[in-house]
Amino acid sequence: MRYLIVGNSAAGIFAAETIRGLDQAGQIIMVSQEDNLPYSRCLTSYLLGQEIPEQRIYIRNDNYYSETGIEFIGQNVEQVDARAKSVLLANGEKLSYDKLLIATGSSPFTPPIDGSNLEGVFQLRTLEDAKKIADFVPNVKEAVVVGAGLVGLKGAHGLHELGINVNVVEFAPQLMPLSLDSEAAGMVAGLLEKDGYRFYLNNKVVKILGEKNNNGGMTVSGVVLDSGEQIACQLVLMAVGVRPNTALVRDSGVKVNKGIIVNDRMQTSVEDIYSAGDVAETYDLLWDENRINALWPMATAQGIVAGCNMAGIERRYEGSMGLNSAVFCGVGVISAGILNLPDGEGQVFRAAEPQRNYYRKFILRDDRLVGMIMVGEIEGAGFLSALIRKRVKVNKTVVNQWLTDKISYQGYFSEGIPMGKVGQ
Amino acid sequence: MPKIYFRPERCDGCRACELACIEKHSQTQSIFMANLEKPSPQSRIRVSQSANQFAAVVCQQCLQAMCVEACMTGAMQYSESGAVIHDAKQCVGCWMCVMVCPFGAVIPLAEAKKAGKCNLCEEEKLPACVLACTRKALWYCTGEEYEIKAAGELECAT
Repeated sequence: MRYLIVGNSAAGIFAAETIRGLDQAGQIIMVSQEDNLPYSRCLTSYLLGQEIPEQRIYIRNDNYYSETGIEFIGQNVEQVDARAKSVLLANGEKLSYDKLLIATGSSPFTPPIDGSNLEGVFQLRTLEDAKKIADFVPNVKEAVVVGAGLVGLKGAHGLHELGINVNVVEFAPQLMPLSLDSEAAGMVAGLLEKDGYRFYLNNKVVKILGEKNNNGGMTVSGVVLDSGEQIACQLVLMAVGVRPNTALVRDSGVKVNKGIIVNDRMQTSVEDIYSAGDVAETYDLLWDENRINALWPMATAQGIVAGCNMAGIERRYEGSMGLNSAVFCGVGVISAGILNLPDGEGQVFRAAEPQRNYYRKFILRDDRLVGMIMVGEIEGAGFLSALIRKRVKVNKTVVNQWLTDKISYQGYFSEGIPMGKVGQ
Repeated sequence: MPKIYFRPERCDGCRACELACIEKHSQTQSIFMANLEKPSPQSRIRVSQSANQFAAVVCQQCLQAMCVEACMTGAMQYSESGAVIHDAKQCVGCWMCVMVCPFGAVIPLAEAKKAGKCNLCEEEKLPACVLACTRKALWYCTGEEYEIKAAGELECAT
C-alpha cells in the first residue's frame, strides 16, 4: 500500500503516525512545500517574541522521518490527478498513490488594501514568516496589526515582547469576535491596554503608506484608517483570517465548498482521496452542518480518523466545534461552542468580576450546554467542553454552581445525571 | 499498562492522596516545606465532594488522549508503555490540554506557566497517592486486574 500525505503539519503528522501504527509495511510518502521537520504553527508567535528558541518550535525530534519510516519530499503539490491516481509536484515529477490525504492547511487571506505590497507588510503563518519578521524588527518601533483574532493578538503579543509599540485595528466592535463575546473581549482588551497595546475597534485600514528606503524600494511608514486617523508605523502585520489551500484539487473531481468537503470518515467525493485539517470542511456538531474549524485539536483528531480509514480500519469522526484557549497577561481565556445564540433562543448563565479578571458564561439550548466562556480560573474547562461535545443534558442548579465554584465531577453523581461515555 | 483506578464507595474524602501528591511534586519532598516553595507544588489528583459522596479525579492515561491531540507544542506524548507523559520543558502553558481533558485531570500550574498531570510516579513502584490511601479507594493495576478485583469485591458484598 502506498500512502501519500500532502502536508506535514498537525493533520498530516497525526495521520501518518496513525497509519504507521496500523500498517508497518506500507509505504508512507509525505510531501510538503515547507521543507523542514514538523513544527507547530501555533508557536510562531512565541518564536517571534523570543519566548522560545527555534528548536522548541519543532514538535517531533530530528530523526522523525527516518525513525517513523516516512519518505519526506519538500515540494509543492501542484495538481491532483484522480483518474491516474497521481499528483504533480512543482518540479514536474509525478507521484502515484493508493490512498491520498490532502492536509494542505490554509493560507492567510490578504485583503486588497492599497500598499499591501510594500516592504514591511507581513503575515504570520509559517516558520519562514516568523523569521522574516524577526529579521525586519530591529528597525521597528511602532507596528500595526490588522485583525484582532487569535492570530492577530498572538502576533501582536510577539511584537510587544520585543519592545515594539503595538496598535491593533479590528473591523468588529470587539476583540476576537469569533471566539469571545463582547464582555469577555472587553476584559481582554482592558488587560492588554494596561500593558501598552492600543486598539482601534470598529475600524479598518484603508491604505498603507510608504516611503522610499535606502535600497530604492518602498517601506511602510504608516497606515490610514477608515476614520481618517493616521498611525505612523514601520511594520504592518496582516491577520484578517485564513483561506483553505484547495488549489491542488481543481479539476480533480474533488468537491469543494469553502474547504474540501469530507464525510465522517474524512473521505472526499473522490474514492481513495481523504482530507483533514484546516483545508477540510467537516461536520460541526453544534451547528449541525459542514464547516471549517481551523483549529489544532480538530486537525489532529481528523488526521487520526483519516489515518485509520486509509489503513482500512473504519473510524468515524464525531464532529468539530469551536474551541479556543489563549493566555493574555497571565490570564487564561477559554471558549467553546456557540457563544451567541439568536435572541430569545436558549438560556444564558453568566458571572462577571472584572476587578479580578474573572468571567464565566454558559449557554444552554434544550437543556444542553452548547457554549461556554471562562476567563481567569480555567481549571476543569475540559469537563465542560466534553459535556458540550457529548451533548449531555445538564442540570441548571449545577450550571449555576459552576458560575462561582470549581468545575469538577461534583454534583454529577448525586444528581443522577448519566455521564455517558464522556471522553472515550 | 497499569494506571490509577478510583473506587468511590471506599473513599471517605480524607484527601491523603492529594497531600501525598503535593509532597511527591515538591522540591523538598516534604509536605511541611511544600507550602513555602515557589512555585508551590500542586496535587495532580483532586478530590471533590457532593453531598456525602467523593470523587477523586486523576489522569486516566487515555489510549487516545485528547490532551495529546490538542497539545500544540508536542509536550503531551505517549510513552513507550502507553502512558500519557508531559514534557514540561516543551510546554508553553497555553492550556489547550486543560481545555479538552474530559476528566479535568490536567492541571494549570499558573505560577510555573506549565500544565501538570499525573506521571504515575514513574520512578516508584507504587504511586504516592495509592500508597497513601489507607481505605484502598485507589488501585494501581492494569485494566484486566481491575476487572477481576472489582468483580471479586462485588461478589463479597452480595
